Amino acid sequence: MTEATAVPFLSLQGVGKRFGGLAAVNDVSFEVARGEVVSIIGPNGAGKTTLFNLLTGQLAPSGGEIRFGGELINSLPPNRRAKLGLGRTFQVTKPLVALTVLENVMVGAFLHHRATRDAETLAMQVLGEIGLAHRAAVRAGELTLAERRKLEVGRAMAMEPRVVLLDEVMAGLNQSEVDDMITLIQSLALRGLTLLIIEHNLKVVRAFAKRVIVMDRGRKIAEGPAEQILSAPEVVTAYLGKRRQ
Amino acid sequence: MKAPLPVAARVESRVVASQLRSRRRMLALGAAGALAALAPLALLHGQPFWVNILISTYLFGGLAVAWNLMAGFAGQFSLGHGVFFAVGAYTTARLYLLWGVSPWLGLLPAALACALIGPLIFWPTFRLKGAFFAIATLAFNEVGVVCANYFESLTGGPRGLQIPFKPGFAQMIFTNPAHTAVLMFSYLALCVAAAVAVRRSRLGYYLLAVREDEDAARASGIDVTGVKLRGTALSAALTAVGGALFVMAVRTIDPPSLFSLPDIGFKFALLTLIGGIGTLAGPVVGAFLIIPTETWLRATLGGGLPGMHLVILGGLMLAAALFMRKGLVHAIVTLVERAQRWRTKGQRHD
Repeated sequence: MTEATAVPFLSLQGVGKRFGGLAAVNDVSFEVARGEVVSIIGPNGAGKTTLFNLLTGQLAPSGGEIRFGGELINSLPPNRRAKLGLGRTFQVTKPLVALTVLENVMVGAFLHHRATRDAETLAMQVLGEIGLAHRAAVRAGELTLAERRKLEVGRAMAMEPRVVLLDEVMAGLNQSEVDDMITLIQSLALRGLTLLIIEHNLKVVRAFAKRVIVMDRGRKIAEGPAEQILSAPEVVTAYLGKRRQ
Repeated sequence: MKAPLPVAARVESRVVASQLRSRRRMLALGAAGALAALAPLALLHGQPFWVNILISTYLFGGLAVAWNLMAGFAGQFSLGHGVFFAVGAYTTARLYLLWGVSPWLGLLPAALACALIGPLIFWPTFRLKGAFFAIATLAFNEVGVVCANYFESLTGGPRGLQIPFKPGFAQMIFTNPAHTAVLMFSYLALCVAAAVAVRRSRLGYYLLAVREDEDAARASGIDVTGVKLRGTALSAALTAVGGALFVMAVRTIDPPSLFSLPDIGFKFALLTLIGGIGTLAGPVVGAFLIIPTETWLRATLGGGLPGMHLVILGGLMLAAALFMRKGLVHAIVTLVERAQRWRTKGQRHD
């Protein structure tokens, strides 16, 4: 990475987060290039979601530097980071339940479109792309889990972000819904969006991420091409535990 | 995604069509609502008893709409709006009594003052949620009483302010109560128009997003506190205008009447809750339901059975709390939706 001439798109330098005595994220560093798709994997409690919260500003880091497009964003609140182009989905979906599906996506679309008409047009377009156009007038509280996850993606997409952080968008979905979601995410990647994906399902990870970052107990324990990483012994140990003697 | 252009075009035309339809529907609904609200005045304009009821109905309808902007849209259940009402009333009355400033002009600085005071005093309380926020804002009301009693040169202290009866359009004082009613109706219309404009604007969507989920709102790029402050400023300014109209209609004010919780501070919330919090029509429906009922009950039962009107009113509210927790408008919408679903289901089975 030292010979890279351009400033890295998204970079973390020694980023950490402590909750009292617990280091939920500990000295994590990595870089993401524009248009790259990176998966972050690791067992429960490895600090993946905390890392996302540090990236999007829901949490303030205890140390380290987070840079986006060369700019230090450590102390920016989430809304300012969203304006810079950081979109995210939540692991526990956060639909605006009393609003319709269309209105939910419009809330994202308003970020760069002041006029209601423009926001509505963009939101309808996004709904068409994520396959929820037929549910536009339904209240978000009535959606199924798979639809709610798509809605999260849709709201993030309507923000016209430069990076999207997807936090376990497959969790709890059945096989056909997973396939559906993979197609959707692949279409985002094809469009040149930079994606950071937290995922448990290794089959899904193999489907699109070229690069994989493995976390365990708050630390980054491995990073590299997907095939190589997924068969590395320390990754297997962290994920599946040691083979019983 | 397979055929991007036609899909986009189809989506586009659908959006335009739906916008046209919804705009026409809104206009029709607005016209129908205005006619329905004015009809009782046209029918009863010769009967002062009913005209007076309509005056408070329109006024409190408007005030409830203003309150709903903050409590219903932004989800900030304020019990401190009596302060803005009082500041609006005192400012307008003081300017009129001191320098003869016409209330038409006097209500502007009153609204502006509240648009500044509102965000300022609510800012520290915005970190509180739900009931804690409501209780903290309730304290503003108590502080307001103390201030009103203390700053005698401004408010007249405990004796209050009296405005001489000098009828005239410039003084906003009318001999014919029907004219006052028309004025109050205009205020109601102004508040509803403001609420509709806000609901359809970016600010409106942002207020709702903040109410629904602050984390999701922030992640969507919304400055949560800024949005709350803007909602407060607007809501407070409209409430102040209501206070200004109130003082010129009753022409006598003092701290106990302006800061009364059951008659002012809680009433905005009560009307809105009964009608349907967070909806556009709810506060107006609540006002038309409760204020005539309350006044009529007080007038008819007040002589023989003093206090009985409160018993009946309390019973009504209890029933509303038990059977229509989201208010009358919500209950009606749910019924209509259910009927529509039932009908489409029936068609599918045919």
